[in-house]
Amino acid sequence: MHSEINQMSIKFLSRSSNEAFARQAVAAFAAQLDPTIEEINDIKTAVSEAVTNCIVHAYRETTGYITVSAKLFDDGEIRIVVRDKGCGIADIQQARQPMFTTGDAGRSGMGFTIMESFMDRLRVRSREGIGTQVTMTKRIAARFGTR
Amino acid sequence: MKCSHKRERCGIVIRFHGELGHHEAAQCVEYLEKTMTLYPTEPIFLDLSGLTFMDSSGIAVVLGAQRNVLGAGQSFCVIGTPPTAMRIFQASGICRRVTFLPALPQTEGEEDDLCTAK
Repeated sequence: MHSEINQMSIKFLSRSSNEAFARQAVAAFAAQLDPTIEEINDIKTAVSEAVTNCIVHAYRETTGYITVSAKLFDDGEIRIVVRDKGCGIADIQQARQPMFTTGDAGRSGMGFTIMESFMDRLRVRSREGIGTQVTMTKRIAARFGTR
Repeated sequence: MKCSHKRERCGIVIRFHGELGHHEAAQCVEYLEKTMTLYPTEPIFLDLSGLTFMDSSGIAVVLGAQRNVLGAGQSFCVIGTPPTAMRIFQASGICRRVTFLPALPQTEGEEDDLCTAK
């Protein structure tokens, strides 16, 4: 059984001041699954990494729109999709390597590694000049009296 | 994000309060550099106990601070790291390169003060 029970979508400009808005919006939506504080923090961290990638890499020299959507399923899964229409990633495998970054010294190159560590699954699809779509899923464990 | 610093017996303690993501990282780096310029001959302790959120932006902030402090010939240490932030540091592997302590090391004088307070 894996039925969708709710969904949301937000669209905002690639300004760094929107990072906190994005992670808090998804965390508030995910709260319907009754996650632990640690699970909520994992989701906030992963969303923050994905949105920061859009701002720092996809729209490096410009400003564009970022779309964050999330779906909840009746088995406790949350699926989060972060999309941009930026420059795209030339080599996804290389981009997913720890410590690899095309950003400045202020970036650690750990974004995808953190997303992989904090979520159950991560899928990255990208085309140069078209954009990038990051899909992350996490199963929120059922606790006593829920679901 | 709020940044503050205080002189303790063991050195300068720089504290971050609030959320540390990419948006706040530049402010943190600027504050760290300004404080290190003010106290170039003091050991630096970076207190993260007031953080309510941190993503991988914190890794670059800590590594940059350590590079500057060690370059000036002083010691650098991170204290009070919340568990969620520590998971990010552990995932990145920088725990092997940076000293993390649960709290400020006590000096002999502070132990005397504690005894006096009793």
